[in-house]
This record gives sequence, C-alpha cells and structure tokens, in this order.
Amino acid sequence: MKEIELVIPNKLGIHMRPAAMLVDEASKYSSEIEIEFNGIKANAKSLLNIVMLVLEYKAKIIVRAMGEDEEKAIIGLKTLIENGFGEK
Amino acid sequence: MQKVAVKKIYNDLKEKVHLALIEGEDGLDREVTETQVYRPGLALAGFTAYFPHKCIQILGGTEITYLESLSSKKRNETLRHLLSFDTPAYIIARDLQVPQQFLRLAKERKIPVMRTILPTNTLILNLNNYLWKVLSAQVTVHGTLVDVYGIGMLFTGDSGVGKSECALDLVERGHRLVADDVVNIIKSPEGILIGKGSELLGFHMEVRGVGVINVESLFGVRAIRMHKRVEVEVCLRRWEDIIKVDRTGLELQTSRYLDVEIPQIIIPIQPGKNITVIVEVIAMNFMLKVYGHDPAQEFAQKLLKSIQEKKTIDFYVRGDLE
Repeated sequence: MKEIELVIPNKLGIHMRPAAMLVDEASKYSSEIEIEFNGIKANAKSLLNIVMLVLEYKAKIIVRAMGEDEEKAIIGLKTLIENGFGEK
Repeated sequence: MQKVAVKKIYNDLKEKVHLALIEGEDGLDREVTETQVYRPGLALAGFTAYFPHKCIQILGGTEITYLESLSSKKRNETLRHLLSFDTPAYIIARDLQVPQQFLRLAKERKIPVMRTILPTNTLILNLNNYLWKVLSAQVTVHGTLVDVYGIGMLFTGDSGVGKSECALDLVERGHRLVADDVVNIIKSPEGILIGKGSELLGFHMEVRGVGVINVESLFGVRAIRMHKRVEVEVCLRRWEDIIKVDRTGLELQTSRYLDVEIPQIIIPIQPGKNITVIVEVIAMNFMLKVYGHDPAQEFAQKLLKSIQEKKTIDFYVRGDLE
C-alpha cells in the first residue's frame, strides 16, 4: 500500500470537471485507489464518490493506492492534482 | 443538385392532387430542380426580365381571367412569348379552361400541361410540400433510426457492433423502428432533419445468425414508423476503441448532417451491458433538456455552491462505496 498527502491547489476546488479528470486518471490503473478527506474515504474511480467529499481549495487529502501498479498510480494522481487540473 | 422528372411528379401526385394530363405528353421527361412554384402573372403582363421559368408554373383564376380579358391578337402574342421559355410544366387550378392557343403551343413546345380541381392555394401547398421532400438535400447514413419515447435516435457505429440488436430490443420494449441499416436523411425547409428508410428494404432487418426478418410482420404495426425527426445520435463503440467518454454529461458533443448539428452521445459497448435501458435514459434526459431542465448542469452548480460554502453534502450515495 502506498499513500501520499496532497493539497488541492485550484481555487474552485474539485468541481465536476476536475473530478472527472481525477476519475479518468485513476481508472487507468488496476490498483484500488481511495481518497481520504476529514476521515471520509471515497473510491477514486467513482465520480459521485469523489464529489461527495466536497473538496475545496487548500483541502488536505490523502491519496491511497493498493495493488500492483500502486506506485505508478500515486505518481500519476500526484502530477494531475499538483498541476491544478489545468486550472488556476 | 437534386432533380425530379415531371413524369414522376405526375405519377406520384395523380391521385392526391387529382392531376390530369391534358397536353404535352412528349415533354414528361423534363426535369424540375426548383422547390418553388410560380404564378406567372407578371410574365403574362409582359415583364420577363425576371421570370423564374425553371419553376413549375401555376395558372389560377387571376392568370386565366387576365388572359380572357385580352384581345385575341394580344393574347396570342402573350402566350407565344410565355411559352417560348423552357418551363418544365404548367398546372391549371380549379379545373379552369385554358385558351386553345395555349394548349396548341404547349404541344408544339413539348411542355406538359396538367389540370386539377383543387383551388390554387391548396395546389401550391401540396406541390411545395412534395417538391421539398423529393428535391431537398439528402444524405444516406449507415445506421439505425428508432423512435424512443418520441425522440428520434440515430444509432451509428461499426458493422456488427449491435445497432440492429439494440433496435430490436427497443422494439420489444414498445418503441418504434423507422429504418435499419440504411437511413435516408433529408433537411426540411425549417432546418429539421427527417430520416426514413429505403423503400426497397422497408422494415426488413438483418440479424446475425437469424437472417432477414420483417419487423412489421413480427411485431405488428405499433412497432414501426414511416419517418421521424432525427434528434440525437447515439454512437456505439467497442470499449477498446474508445479514447474518451464523457463522465459528467457536461461536455456536449455534436455531429453534423446536412449542416444541421445534433447532439452525439458515445456509448461504450461491453458484453453484458444493457444498452437499451441506457438509450431510454438518453431519450428521457434529452426531453428534460428540451423542457429546460439540465440535471448534469444543476448538479454541477449545486456542487460548486457547496464547495464555496465549504459544506459537506450528505449524498444518498454516501454509504454506497464501491
């Protein structure tokens, strides 16, 4: 199991578009991936699960991956989130 | 440019418009390219600098009465001039009598002359209607057209992806087949796409492993529909061929037929996935949007608002972690 702490960098938070990007990225890997915020866990491959977390700007999240390609998955999601989903 | 022979117009409308050919049988091969018909009032009065002579000419009460009011010398002159143009056909409304001279000239010039008992405006309406149907821009699409809850859904995708099977499933659930395999689409004057099947194929359908079946005789008259406005394209793709699917319903993709844009939805096909239900949902969702209610947009707005208020919403999906 691999995990990493990240901070949401875009001003609008995780609204529909970034959530969809996140799910698309997570779906590329076979590992089980979850995102934890304030003690609530969400499946990173389910769109409605992600938006349920209501992640705002500067929210601290934990991305956790379990499986064969967990390392790749963590790197992929880290890059996507840290780049702010192409937003400011 | 699309064209239609006068002979076909005559044969198609003989009964509906009560057309009778009275002269110029030799000219039935003349072709019509214009969807408009014209009443040659000004041409009769001598103004022919602008005379749309390629249109079918309609002679109604006004024209015939005007001709009768002329002296015979003037009338001969006028008719000679009028019939010197290459007109595809003349149609006389209200069963009016035309001067013998007119018929003689028409025979000489091999221009068909037809007569109907219908009033002029009804005749023009019928002709316009018919002409745009046969003359409007047309495109043939490899796909299947089904009326789902009153929404015309065009299924496209590679051969063997399951368009016909999907249509069959929809018919089973009470929806109506318009065309399978070959869909002819025309654009109406209002810019609406109308799709129908080929006359030869009718409601026949090829189902792999079964062969050719007839949907009309199998499922009855409730399962078919002659033509339908094409409103949504549903593109069926194999899962492995998909580059990207829309997950949010916010990104609207469109496709273009005859310069008319319609929404296009790409559905990934996987074994064991029930496409029929998804298609019904697409149809109902489309209707909701038509009625000004966009669930995906509304949800996105609600989410944005929640993020701004930093409030956790308690979704009903909350405990439904996969």
